[in-house]
Amino acid sequence: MTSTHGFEDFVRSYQNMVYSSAVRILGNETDAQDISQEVFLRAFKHYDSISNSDTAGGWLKTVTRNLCINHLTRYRNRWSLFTDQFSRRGDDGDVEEIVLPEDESSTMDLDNLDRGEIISDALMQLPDKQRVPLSLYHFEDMSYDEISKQMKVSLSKIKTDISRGRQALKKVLARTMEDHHEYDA
Amino acid sequence: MNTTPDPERDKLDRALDETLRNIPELTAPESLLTNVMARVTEEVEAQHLSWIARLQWPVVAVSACFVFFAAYFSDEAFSALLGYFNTEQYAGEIQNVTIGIQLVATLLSATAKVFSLIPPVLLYSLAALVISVSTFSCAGIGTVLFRLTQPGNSMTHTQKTLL
Repeated sequence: MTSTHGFEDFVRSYQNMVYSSAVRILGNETDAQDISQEVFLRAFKHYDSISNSDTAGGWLKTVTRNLCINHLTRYRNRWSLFTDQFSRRGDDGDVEEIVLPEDESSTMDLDNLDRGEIISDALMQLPDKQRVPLSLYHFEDMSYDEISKQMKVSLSKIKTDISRGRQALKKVLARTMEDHHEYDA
Repeated sequence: MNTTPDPERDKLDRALDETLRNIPELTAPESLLTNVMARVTEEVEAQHLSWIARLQWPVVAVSACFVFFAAYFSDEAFSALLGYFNTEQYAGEIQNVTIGIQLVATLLSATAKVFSLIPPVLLYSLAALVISVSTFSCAGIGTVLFRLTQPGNSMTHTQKTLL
């Protein structure tokens, strides 16, 4: 029988990584917690083989990614990523305007950590169809082609969605940099 | 289409890439570890229960074999008993009782014959297995009933599934 004590240390080691990936893909902390639990439950079933493996992190990331995408496709009707015909705000080429909380855009000393938090929050506000491929591209190191195959969406749409997501984030970034006179420097 | 490189835009792209690269990992809530370990405990319980459940099938299989052999070897005893109870003394008077007695007698005879064929070690092992499974089943049901009657303790997912 697998040692639950050893497994607890294993969970402690990887919980932030798994949770972060899930939050970035799902854009929802509650769903991310559920998926993270499911990931670790699966890890427990394969604990004997992955506990001493160097690829445990990669295994967890892959399972997290697959479960998140399955979750989105199965339970979220509002997610229009898989239906190219479905038209909604942001599909006409416009980039969505992201509204930041007052206290975040008015921070006096904007270091990299603060900027990361602002962009991270802005990422959460992107529509699923932009946030998911963007997260897979930037945080999961997947190529356009891999994302296209994984999500069963055309390559051109993936490129367009990532591009629009980046434009929205760049708007936020430009605004924060302007506020702190970095953009003109 | 304007293809002239825009230095400001390139700068923004690089800044965005750098920012995305440097976004730190989120801190998982404390409840995640607690919930995972609770579910793992449930999983371990479920594994124990599933082993007990798996043991029930061999018992059923052994019982089926027993019935088969009982039927096979009881033919002679069955014929003898049938002949005895179908004598004129009993015929037409207590037919229903006779049939009942015939069945019991047949089964007893068959049981004795089958048990005599089974080596004692195997017989005692089988009895131990049956008693163990029964005990575990009773203990499992008892646990479920105990938890049901405790207001502070909700049932685990496994126990809900079993019910």
